[in-house]
Parts: sequence; structure tokens; C-alpha cells
Amino acid sequence: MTSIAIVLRAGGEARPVEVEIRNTGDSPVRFVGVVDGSEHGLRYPHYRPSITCGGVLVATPEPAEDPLVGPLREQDFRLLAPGESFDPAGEGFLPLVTFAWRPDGPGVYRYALEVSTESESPQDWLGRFGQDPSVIPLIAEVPRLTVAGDLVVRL
Amino acid sequence: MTAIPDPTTVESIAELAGNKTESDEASTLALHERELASEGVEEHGVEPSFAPPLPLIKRQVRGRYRSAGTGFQLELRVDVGGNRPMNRVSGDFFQTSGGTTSYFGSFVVSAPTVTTTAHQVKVEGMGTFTWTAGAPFVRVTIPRVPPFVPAAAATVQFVSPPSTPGASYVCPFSSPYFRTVDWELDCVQGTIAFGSYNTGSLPQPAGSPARELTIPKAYEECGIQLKPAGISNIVPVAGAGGNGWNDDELHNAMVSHFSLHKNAPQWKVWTLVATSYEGGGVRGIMFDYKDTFQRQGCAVFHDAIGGTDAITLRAALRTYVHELGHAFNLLHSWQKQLADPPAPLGPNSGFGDRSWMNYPQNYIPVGGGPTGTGAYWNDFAFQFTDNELIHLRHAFYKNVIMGANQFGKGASDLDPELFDEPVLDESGLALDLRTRNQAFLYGEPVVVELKLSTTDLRGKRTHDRLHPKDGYVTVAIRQPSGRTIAYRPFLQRCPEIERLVDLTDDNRAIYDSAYIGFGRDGFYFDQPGIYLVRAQYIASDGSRVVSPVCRLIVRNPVTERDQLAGELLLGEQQGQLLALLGSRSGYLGNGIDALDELINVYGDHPLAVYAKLAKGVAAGHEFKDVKPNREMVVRPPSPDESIPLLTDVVASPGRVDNITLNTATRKLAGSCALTGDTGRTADVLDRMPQTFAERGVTNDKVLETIRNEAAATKEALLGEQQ
Repeated sequence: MTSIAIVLRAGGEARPVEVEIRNTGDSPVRFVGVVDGSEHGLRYPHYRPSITCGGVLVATPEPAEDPLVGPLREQDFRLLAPGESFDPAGEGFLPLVTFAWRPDGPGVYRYALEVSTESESPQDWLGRFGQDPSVIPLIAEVPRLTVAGDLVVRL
Repeated sequence: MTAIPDPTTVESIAELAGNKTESDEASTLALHERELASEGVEEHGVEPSFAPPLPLIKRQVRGRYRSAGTGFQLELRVDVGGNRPMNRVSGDFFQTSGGTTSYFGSFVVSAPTVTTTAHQVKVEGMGTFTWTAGAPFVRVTIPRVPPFVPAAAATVQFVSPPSTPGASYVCPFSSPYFRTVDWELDCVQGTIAFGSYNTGSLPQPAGSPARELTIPKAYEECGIQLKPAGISNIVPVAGAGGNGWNDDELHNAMVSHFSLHKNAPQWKVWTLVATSYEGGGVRGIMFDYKDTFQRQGCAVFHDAIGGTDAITLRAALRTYVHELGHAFNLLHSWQKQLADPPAPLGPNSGFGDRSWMNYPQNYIPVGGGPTGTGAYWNDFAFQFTDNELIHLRHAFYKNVIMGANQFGKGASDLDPELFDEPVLDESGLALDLRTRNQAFLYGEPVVVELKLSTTDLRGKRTHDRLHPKDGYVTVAIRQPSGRTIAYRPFLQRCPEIERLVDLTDDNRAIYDSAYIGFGRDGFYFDQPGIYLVRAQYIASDGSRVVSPVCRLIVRNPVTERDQLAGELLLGEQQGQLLALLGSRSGYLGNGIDALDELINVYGDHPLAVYAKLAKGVAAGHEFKDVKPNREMVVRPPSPDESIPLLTDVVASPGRVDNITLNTATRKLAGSCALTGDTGRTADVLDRMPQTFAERGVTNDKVLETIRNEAAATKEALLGEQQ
């Protein structure tokens, strides 16, 4: 059975929130971290972060300037053994820019992240330039699902 | 092999008559040292250094210089002094011949020594070249003159280390700008183009002076002249679909309305002020990133960026400059490492760049603190980063000029000049490309016949690799939209042995055919319309032989049946099956099912012959199938399936080209031989020359070749049983 969990943890000064994607199923799973355009929903996988305070949305990705997203590469795929995890915004991937937001004042903030791989077509994963089509078979191996996680912190 | 000319050496330029360059034996490094001694100055490192303050103001030497004359011309860029000096010299060589001038190569000196005296500026250092230069040390000397005196010419001396002088060029001053680009701005009906923004209207970083910035002014600050040019057209809004503009519609609009448009590298760029992008939420796009001649146009979307308040004008200015930056082959700040070759990222994975190419909302400043749009505008001084400036001013010609290298790439798969007429051709070879039918049905596989012949009465020896998948023949396709793309074979072969052939009076030509309908980019002829196709063959001696342009039409489907039959051939897996000339892989099961449907439901349709061909050839030989558990299963040939299919192909009157038909006939004979039916095997091959004669082949030599091939196949299949 394929199962993925997303865990948000309080981080340090440089990265206030850290993210972990974990394979909670019983077979290996291929997954992709945050790539160019993921956070803006321009291409899959979608990583859509948001920050709310008292139910009010205080930070969310603004629309992209333009849709010229870079290529999806073989090294963007991680093969996770059962129980294994990785940081989708860590080394080799793009940071989640929304989570770099700094509050103006103290409060209780909810950091949320929704990850979706439920594209209609493999084309929805590809970059607009420099794209090597040899990654298409790898896209097919990524399970199609939507998972979400959140973290409430007092700042 | 002809030696490749080298414009940095005396020998090469001496061969080019009428050259205006100088070869000065005295101009050696030793002389240079004497000059320095007489000037009484010391050399310094990378940073420009200036002698003690001079009482007399001198004209700046930075800018563009260009030599004249035939042979090689040098366009030189000197980037010392002035606004944000990058302390570099760079240049592009152009080769002139008769009435034509073509680009040869580029160089840059990235870490020069700059020496300034009262009388001259000298910039020198080891250059990086796009070719292996014989004299790679570059020394540029420019006399310093008062501001009221015309700028002096630069003298460029190439040196082969340690001190052998190479070629030298005298380059008169031509412009204070490093590049000059013609910029055409068109508007879709109902939109308004951006005018200007005063950077003092809203808070900005300390040190960024308040000034009125237009789009050309923003580039002028980088040393790039964006010269409004062409006719400002009003583009009808009907060019877009109902849901805003998409990339294809924008490209079509560019081809139709960009007065200066040409499928060639040129310093010309187009901006369209369009209404909105398909799906919305996008402020602009450099949409020309798919075909061979990329980066010629960009668009901004009035619905997203229009307005007259200061915040909106500031953001609109950024969007225009940003999208034009893509046309100069600049990537987003966080994408630099995705370039080919990769470039270093700025701080915070590039998100910390205070650049036109960053997104305000993505901005993560160095040293912490607030992020995002507000922080960006607090820190952004309306500039490119240093690395971006270096690219704009000094990148190698094809990496920056519009219409040359692909977006994000330092090397193009296809020479963009492929569609240009050759200037001079003394190869002794001629290449012809043609199709059996000038008009193709919707979905019909496009197969081209390639013929290489000699025009040299003494004969010519060259290699016989005519199929594009061998890598020596490139096919360019101009699609109905005006885009020119390179056919990229689905599978590439790497032939290790050069097979030479003597093209003589007795054997004047060699032939091959290639299915170019499907390749690594998918289908190339899937839209009805007029296509232009041209091929280029690289001969054993390096000659570039270009075929005439072949014009073909893909017709609209006339009936629903035509459309359905055509679509059965246009699937991804069907394309692979046709490119492989059949397969029995389980991986291509859906494609095989589609071919079966074409045969079973539309068996009398002219397109069914292609399905029969792919299936018939595949069934005629064994297939090694590797199962998911890595077990290999060898599936034997199935002649009972192959023979009726290929019999239909051979008997069909028309659409399959002669070379493919030749293959199909011999495959049919092979299948017959597998059944042990020697009589039918012999009959198929005996009839082969007659079949081609009936299809209009009249050339005796070609018919003789066919007879020989039939006889050889017969010998191979039947041997002693004959």
C-alpha cells in the first residue's frame, strides 16, 4: 500500500519551519521535492504553503511573474524506502519562500502545507525550457495523491 | 581537411585579401614592457587603477569599437570606467566574403590588467575564445583624448605567449553602448503601453538616485541601447483565444506583426502589450522558447500590470525589463544553475538577488529580516546583478543575441542559419530532399527521401551516412506557425566506423529515406498547413551541403473517417512504433491496439497501409521481450501475420516511398522464406524491379541497383535452394 505523510517541525532562525515527507507505506515510493514553480502552482508537484494567524491568512504565495519554469531533472526524484523520509525544501530543492515570512509581532501562527501530485498529464510536471523528456517514465512512478500537514507555533 | 581560419593569427588573416588589420612585428610583449617603462607607470591587477589625479578631463574609453575591411572584422567591447564597470574586454569576429558577413566567434578577457596613463588606457589579459585561438593573449590600447575630440580608435593586438605577436586590428569607436538592439513595441487593441516611472516616487534604497526610468533608459544604465524601431502595430484582440493569450498565439502574433521579424539571429526584439495570459495570474512571458530561433519576443499583460498609480507603474516597469531580460537569455535569479552550462546562484539560492530577474514576492534578503515584496522594493536599486550585467555586455554572441542559442542554453542543437542560402559551395556534392507525395493526409507519416550526388566530374569520396539518426544529416522543419524546429530522431545511432563511398560517373548518387514525422519532441507534422523542410549534410571533409527547400502540405481531414483514421496514427506510442518501424513490446500495447483498429476498422483507408507496414515488419522478425521481473522471453517471428500485411503494403498503389517499399518487399520475401515457400519467396523478389518500374522509376542505374538488391536478398534467403 502506498502512503505518504507530511510533517512540519519548528526550525531555527534561517528556516523557521522544516518539512519532512515520509513514506509510511510498505513499498518504495518515488517522490519529488519543491522545484521551480511548485510553490506557485505552475507545475507539479504542487507545494502550496500558507500561514494564518487567528484564522486570518497572513502569507501565501503570490502569483508568479511568468510561467518560465525550469526543467524537472532526474536528480529531483527521491526513491523512499518504507519508513524513509526526506526534506522536500532542503538540499537540492528550492526553499518554500512563503515559510521565510517573518511576523510583524507576537502571536499564534499556523503554518500549513498541502502537497499534491494529482496532475492530469505528465506534461504538467515538465519545465518550459531545457527539459529532457527522459524523466517522463519517472513521473509515472510518483503516486498520485494530495497530503497536507500543519504546525502551530507561538512566536 | 581545410585548416580552420584563426583571426588571432597573422597567417590566417594574411590569406584574406584586402584585410585592413595590421601585423606589427614590433608590437611584442617586450615592446609593451618598454612602453610601460617610458610611461613611468606600473601595471595593476584586475581592478582598474588610475594614475594620480590628472588635471585634464579625458573622454571615457568604454564602449563599442569595430574594425572595417574584408576578411575578418572585429567588434570590440571595452568595459572599463563609467557606470558599473565590469573590467572586461570582449569581442566578436565576423568574416566578410564578397557581399556577405557571417559570425565567426567570440572572446572575452575576464580578468585583465588595466593600466591608465595620462595618454592611454591599456587593457590586457588572457582571453577565453569560442575556438582554439593561436594567439590568445589580448592587448587593447586606446589613446586618451579630451572630451571635445572624437573618440580614438582602439588597437587590438593578439599575442601568442610568451611574446609572439599575432594579428592586430584597428577598431574605430562606434558607440558608447556595448550592444544596440532594435526594439519594437506593439499593443493589442485596448491596451496601453508603459511610459515611465520616477524611481523617487516611492521609497528606494539609499544610493539609488531618483530618476525617470523608461524601458530603454533602464537598459541604457546597463550599457545596452534599446532603440525603438519598426512600426508600432495595433494587434487585433482576435489573435487570442477566448481565455487570454497562450504561447502559440503570441508566437503567431509575433510572426504576423513584428515588422523586423526574421528567423535568424539578429539584434531585434519584440514586446507585445497583450490583454491577459491564458488562465490569468501572469504578468508577462518571454514566449519564444520552443523553436530554433528563440528569444525574439516577449509579452506583458495589461490586465495584470496596467494602471497609473506609482506602485503599479513601478511593478510594470519591472515586468517589462524582466521579460526583455529573458530575451537576452537571462534566467530567473533562482534558475541560474539550470543554465547550460550552469551559472552560480546568488545569495539564498538566488532569492537574495536584488535584480530585475528576481521575483519581489520571492525575495529573501541576505542577513535575515523581512522577506517578500516590501523588502524587495526597499532593497532594489533598479539594477541587474553584476553577473547579469557581464552576460548582457560580454556573453558570447550566440548566447545573447536574439534568435540564436536556445533559452537557457549555451549551445543550440541546430545551427540557426540552416535555412540561409549557402554563401559559397565548393564541396562537389549536392543534397536533395523530397517526398513521394507533395500533399500528406492528416496524420500521415512524413517520410523524406534523401539523395546525395556529386557535382564534381572527377568524382567525390565521402561517407554514406544519410539517415538523420546517424547524426550527420540535420533536418529543419518550418511549421505553418512560422516556427523552425530541428527534427530530433527518436533514436540516435552512434556509428563508429566511417563508411566511405566513391561518388563517380558510374555511381553518381546514394539514397536513403527517413521517417521524420515523430521524434524526441513528439509529432512534427500534426497540424494541417504548409511546411518547409530542408536538410544539411556534413561531409567527410567537413563541407556543409544544404538541400533545396522542400515544400509539403498536410491536408485538413475531409471526412470524419479521415479524421478518425488520422488520429489513430497520432498517438505517442504510434509515433514510436512508426519510428521503430514496428515493435511487439508490451510497453507499446496501446499504440499497437490503435494500429490494429486502423487496420480492422479503416482497412480500406489510405492510411491503413502504414499500420500494415509497421505491424507486418514487426511480425516478420523475432522479438526479445524483457518482462517486469527481468525475465527475457524470445517471441519467434510470425510470418502468417506478417505476409498478408506486407503483401497489402507492396500491392498498395502509391503512398509509401520507394525506399521503404524496397525494405517492405524484402521483408515480405523474408517472411515467405520462413514458411518454407521458396516459390513465393522467389516470386516476390523477381517481381521487385518491375514493381518499381510501374511506380515510375525510370533511371536505369536505380533499377539496376534494385535488381542487384533483389538478387542479393534472394541469394541470402534461398541460397542453394534456388
